Amino acid sequence: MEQLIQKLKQEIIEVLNLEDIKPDDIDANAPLFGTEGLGLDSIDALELIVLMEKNYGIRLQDPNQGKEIFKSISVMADYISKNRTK
Amino acid sequence: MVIKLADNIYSPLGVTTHQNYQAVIEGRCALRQYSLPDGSPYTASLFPEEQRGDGKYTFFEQLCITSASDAIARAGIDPASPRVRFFLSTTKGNVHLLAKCEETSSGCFDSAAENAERAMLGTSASIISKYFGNPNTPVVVSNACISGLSAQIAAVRSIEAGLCDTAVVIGCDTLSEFIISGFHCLHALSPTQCRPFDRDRCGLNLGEAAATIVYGNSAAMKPNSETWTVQGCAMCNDANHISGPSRTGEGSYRCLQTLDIDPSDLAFISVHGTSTLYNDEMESIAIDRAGLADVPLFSLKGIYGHTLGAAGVLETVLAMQAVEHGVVFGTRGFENIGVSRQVNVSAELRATDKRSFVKLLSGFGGCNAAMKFCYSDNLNISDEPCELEEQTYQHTIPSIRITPTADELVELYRKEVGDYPKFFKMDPLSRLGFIASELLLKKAPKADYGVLLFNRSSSMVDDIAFQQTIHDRANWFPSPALFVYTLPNIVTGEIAIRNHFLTETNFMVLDAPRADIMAEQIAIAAQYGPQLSGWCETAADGTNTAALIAVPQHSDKATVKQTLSDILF
Repeated sequence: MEQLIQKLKQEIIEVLNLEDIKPDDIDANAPLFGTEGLGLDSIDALELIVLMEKNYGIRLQDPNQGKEIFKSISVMADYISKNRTK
Repeated sequence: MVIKLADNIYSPLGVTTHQNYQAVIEGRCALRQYSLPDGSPYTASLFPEEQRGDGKYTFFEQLCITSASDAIARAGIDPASPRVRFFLSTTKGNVHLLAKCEETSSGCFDSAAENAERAMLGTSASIISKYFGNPNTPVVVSNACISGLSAQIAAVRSIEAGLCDTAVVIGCDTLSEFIISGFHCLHALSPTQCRPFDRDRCGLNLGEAAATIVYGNSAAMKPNSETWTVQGCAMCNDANHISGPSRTGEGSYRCLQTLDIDPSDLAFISVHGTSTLYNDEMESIAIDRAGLADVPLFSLKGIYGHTLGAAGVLETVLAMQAVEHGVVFGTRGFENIGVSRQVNVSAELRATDKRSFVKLLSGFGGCNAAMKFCYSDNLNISDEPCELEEQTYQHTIPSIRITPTADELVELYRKEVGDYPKFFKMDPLSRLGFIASELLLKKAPKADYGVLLFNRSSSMVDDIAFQQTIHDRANWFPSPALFVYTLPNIVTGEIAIRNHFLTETNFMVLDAPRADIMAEQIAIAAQYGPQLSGWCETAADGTNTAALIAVPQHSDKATVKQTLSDILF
């Protein structure tokens, strides 16, 4: 799981162009969206949906599911480990 | 006073305005279900397959030419006259040709280079205006979903300013995998027929069409006949988010306020009504806040789908038809109110004897626009000339020119800005416009600037990048962030958000940097407020040029042109 969390941090930084942020700066339990934590927005959420499908073969039909899954990196890693198809 | 001389709609429902009006009245639509490469269903209003295809003119250009030909013939004008100007409203023009750029011998042109050049909006617009023998450089207005109103506003103001006697406004977009997959990855598409303002709405349908309006000055008025006049124009950015509408409907609300409307005059509001959750909710809030909740409204998206660059023109023409026939269209797909404000929407056709209406639109980049039209006899029309100032004032206009590489832009950000990490999420065009605007605003007087930018390549760098995400069938993952930036006007939204400019924002594309045309349009916009304006070009070869000016309100054309000429080349 720790490995997956590290990999996810790296992927998120890359896909969302979080230029000034390093993996170690991200608290795996901090919220991804909103004013705390990384402060991601709705387009970032859609990019994360693409990331899940492209890298892990998980297809979310309803973007609202993302609200739960993208709470934090830990929650996301947990969901991916349980649902991944690649 | 600017009057409408003639119009046309060329859609899957008919080749004239009349045929289209009949189709709407009879409740016909061309929405059908199709599927994307990943199997996802979507519903769209498309021209039949046998009608599509590129020849000497691309399918997009054919639609524009056919629609404009009919409107020009009905207007009885000579399109080759230097007193006629062409305005083309489109979001993506010939973008489908990009799919053919990597192959050398497919598409309608012989080489990848020709396909790439024809995908340039200014090149395509010139081909269309040259077809009509027009000697002037056409202006492409590419301002996301409000393009069709932004183009009409530019045309109307150009006539008012005496730049031309007649303006031909063509709105058109065709649908290719590029656009459809883009809206798909934004999760904006409804698999089934859309349901504007309904509680079960779940996204939009796309549609393709071309529509044309020919505007003239009051000298063209026929005595003793009823005439459409433009009563008001408004554009306002939300300064909130590049793809999400304002939760308070700020921009649309302010547009409606600007128009100074007496609700008892209005037959209806022809709304955007895309049938996405957020758009329809936002519009209901804006309309309610403006005190117009009781005015009947309708959306045409359940019939035509969202026709993008054509929408503002097509929906204006049909609204005029509705008033002339004394009806308020029903909103196809609507059943139960699904917005928080009690707006006056109905699925049924209703009667009206009122002669004015408002057309409302909003789009990505946070832009909003509204226009008010009135159908009246000539007796009520008074002429208020508002020609552009020809005299030259002795004032200097702050300016800046930068030509940074991508790396140098990042260095400039770290050195000169540093406190806006959103910069790193921006595409190359927005990064360039953002940095140039930051540098310019440091030395310009503080003001609520409108933002009017020009270039030649539109968002070509992002278009190519997005095309690559859908090029490979086995690796088909269209990128939502990239797709949003394939609208060139997003840079104007980024600048508005950064500076809280709740002002006019617009993006125009030309075939080349032309100080004369730019100065005309900038001076026109400056009549309504100060403008942060100029050239902002990221070319496909990686070169960047930003030449921006901070124009005080009421600046004259000559000074703007001189300032631009000094920094453009």
